[in-house]
Amino acid sequence: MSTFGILFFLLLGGFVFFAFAKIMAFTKSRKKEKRFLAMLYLAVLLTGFGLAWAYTSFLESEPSAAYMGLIVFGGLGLILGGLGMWKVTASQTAKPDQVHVENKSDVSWQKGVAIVLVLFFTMTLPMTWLLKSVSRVVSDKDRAADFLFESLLSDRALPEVIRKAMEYEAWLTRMDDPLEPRVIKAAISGIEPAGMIELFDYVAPEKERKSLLDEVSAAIYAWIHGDEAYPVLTIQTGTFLNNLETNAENLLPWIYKSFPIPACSPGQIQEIERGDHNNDLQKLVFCVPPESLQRKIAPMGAALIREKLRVNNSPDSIHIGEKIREKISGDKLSAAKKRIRTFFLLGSALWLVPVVLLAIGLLLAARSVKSAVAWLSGPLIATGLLGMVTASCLPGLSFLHSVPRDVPGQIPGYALGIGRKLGIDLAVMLEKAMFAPFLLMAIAGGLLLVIAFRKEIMLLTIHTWHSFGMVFGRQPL
Amino acid sequence: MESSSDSNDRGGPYKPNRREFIKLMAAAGAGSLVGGSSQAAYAASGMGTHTKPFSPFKKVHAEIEEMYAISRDYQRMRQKNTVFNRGFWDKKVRPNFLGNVAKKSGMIPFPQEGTPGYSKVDWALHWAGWAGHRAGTPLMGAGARNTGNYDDWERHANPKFEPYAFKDRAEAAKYVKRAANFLGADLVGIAPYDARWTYSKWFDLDPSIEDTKSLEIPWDKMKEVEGVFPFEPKSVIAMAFEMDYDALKAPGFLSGAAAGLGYSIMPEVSFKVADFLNNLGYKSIPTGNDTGMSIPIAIQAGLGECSRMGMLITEKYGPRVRLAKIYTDLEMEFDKPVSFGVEEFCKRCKKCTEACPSNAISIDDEPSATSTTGSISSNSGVKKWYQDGEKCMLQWDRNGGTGCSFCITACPFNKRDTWIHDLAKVLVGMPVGRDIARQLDDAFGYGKKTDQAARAFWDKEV
Repeated sequence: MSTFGILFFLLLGGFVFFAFAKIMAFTKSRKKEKRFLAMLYLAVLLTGFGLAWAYTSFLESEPSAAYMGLIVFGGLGLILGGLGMWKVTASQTAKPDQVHVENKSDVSWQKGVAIVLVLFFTMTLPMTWLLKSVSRVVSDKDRAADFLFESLLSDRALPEVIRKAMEYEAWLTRMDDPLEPRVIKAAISGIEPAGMIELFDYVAPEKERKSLLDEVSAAIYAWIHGDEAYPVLTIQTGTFLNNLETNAENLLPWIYKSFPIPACSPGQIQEIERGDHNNDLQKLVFCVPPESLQRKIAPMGAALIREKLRVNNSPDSIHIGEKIREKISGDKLSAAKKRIRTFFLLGSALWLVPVVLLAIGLLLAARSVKSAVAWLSGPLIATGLLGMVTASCLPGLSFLHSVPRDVPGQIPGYALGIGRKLGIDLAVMLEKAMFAPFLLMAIAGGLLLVIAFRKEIMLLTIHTWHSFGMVFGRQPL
Repeated sequence: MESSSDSNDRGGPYKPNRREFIKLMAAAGAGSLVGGSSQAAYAASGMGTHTKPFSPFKKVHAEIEEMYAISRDYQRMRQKNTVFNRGFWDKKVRPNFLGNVAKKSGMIPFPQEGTPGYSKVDWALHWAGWAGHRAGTPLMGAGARNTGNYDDWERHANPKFEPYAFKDRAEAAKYVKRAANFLGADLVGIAPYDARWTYSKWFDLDPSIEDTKSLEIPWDKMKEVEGVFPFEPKSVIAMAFEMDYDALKAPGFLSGAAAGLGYSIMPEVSFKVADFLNNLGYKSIPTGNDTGMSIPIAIQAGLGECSRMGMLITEKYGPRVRLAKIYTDLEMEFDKPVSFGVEEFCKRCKKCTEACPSNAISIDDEPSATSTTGSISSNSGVKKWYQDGEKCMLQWDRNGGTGCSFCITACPFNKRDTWIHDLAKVLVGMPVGRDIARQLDDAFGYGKKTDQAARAFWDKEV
């Protein structure tokens, strides 16, 4: 127990003791408001409990429990305390005949409808705005291509993507997976980012990846907005195969450099020098020979790679549209296309619905400019805060970060990993897109509130000051 | 004479009368009590003094059968069927076991490397945590017995002195428990020797191997042998060792370090307690994961209850403990099994089931007398929840060979021993409070393994 801890709890005990003493003193002349005074006692207890909880939770290295304790217990205490103080002092200072009793008939049907519409606006604007932001990214060909490139295929993103894919492959290893692929996947994940970029430079440099992505996105968006049943898309794989053949001599040294392969023993070096590998690439990469020998066997390795490419007879181009035609019927694809178009349309326009409803609500309820300002301020503040909270929560959404559990067998681990990375990047982008406009809404609402209720705010400040003066023995204003 | 109310109305100092002063003291006591009592408990626990946990609903049972229905045809478990031992011979488990060992040893990389909890310093701490285990009982963690300097059966089963005569069994228990506590055990209890919990056959190093000390991992050297004690055990001393709360909250090597440190302390303290018994002339066998099942013995010794995830839940540390036991021929007064609402809470909670990434923990509402997993590593015959050890081992491999402990971290009983959790114990004891306690546990953010916890672990001031 630190000295600070002892002091903290002594002070806390003192705070509770003196707060009770002050409330008791306050009670003496206000016997009739016992329920509000009980609220004050409870407020002190809850606040003290919240502080003790928070302090102990910090000692336990549980910051989230500490903050929750402060918010739940301390917050409840402050609300009760504020309410109790307000009621006690209000009933003390106001005489019964001065108290304004609102006529229930004041609340007309227009106001009732307006309240519902305003509430609807407050609750739905953040979600519809989010939809609009998503739709803005995915409905525009160039934006979508740029996002995918920056998030997936650029030199900056690619090592992280591969690592994420391997991470989820490892997390979702199946019970019956043999050891060898597990080891290979683990070894891939150990390649340094520079090594991964180097490999892709040999096969598909950044510029070629970008132009491939542009081609793919152009074909997909042409299909979405056009009348064709299937996308017209052909990927020229020949370019990449040519690159591989051209750079084949670099691949063997790259493997030696990038994987945790043990150095060759003298016996193994002799075997390689004798050419005992029998044209087996696996035998060549079983151990790392000295550099001089590496240079010597690199052409041999390149020849073996070229031979493998020749034997595999990989096609120079892949017709994606034809592949899709083989697997999915035209009707299904047309239906999917319709759904995508509807999503784009709804996403871009849906946010206007709450705005229009708010306008209707204002027309129904507001009788003057002042009342219109008053009616507008609350929803703007509330929806602004809600929007900011929603935006802040997006990058931390638990389904993007939670520990991956077993997933259905048809979903490969790498797809989940890449999908999650895309999701996190999209969430960060949406957070930026949402936060600023909703912050502006909240500020605007706050300004309108001050303008509409400036007199009441002044009165509230005076009342509170007055109450503190009565409790803590200072002279009121 | 001026009344207090008058003086107050004029803004003068408030002077309470005697009745009011008593009321004031009683009310303020509520606040100061919170601070005072909690800090006394916290300070005490921080200094390592043995304090009794707050147990408002504790119930003492005459025997373990009062807590768990045990089938009459219950069969003792063969040690080779434990999931760790299956790594040595079962093709189904072996890839997971090998992957686990290879990654943990740094033989192959894995994707989490370099992230919080998986850095080089975390790795170094992990192995440092395990260092005592490697030096003292290198194969105890894998279930082999008698493989190091700390679990030398020959030495401990043959004391050099004549047996010391204790006044009675209660006195013997008192001295042994205090000695174990002094020598490093966080919790100690004494159970009668119950053959049901001893493995029917031991899975051991092949006795023909002469140099057992230089073996690293005896892939082909394990063999099933008849389990024979060198003497007839009368009592079993069960000991629990707390694992570090902060390290367990972190992922990867850091939580592995907490487990490793437990594994290093287990044999060291067991060795010392066995030596204490030897010095008094009694035979002893210090054991860890080998020879018999630790959890039912610990339950019989009153250390805690069995949980949904299969771990022992202790009153003070929850599941955050490692267990060791010492078989001895000293007759002592036995502790009684205790329950404090774990089973009832587990029926509703299921946080461990949700936290387990490989779905190895049962989701059934009620415990069952037979294994529901279909795994030979689950030994039927006791009414409890059964876990799938194979899936659990798979997760160890997925996790870079660093162990797992998601279930231990998630368990609402895994808390420090402070006053705020004593309040939760009151909730746990009431049927209506269990759901509330479980929901609050989630809402207040307990039980999560986070990257932040890994950073906080190293940032902690010392």
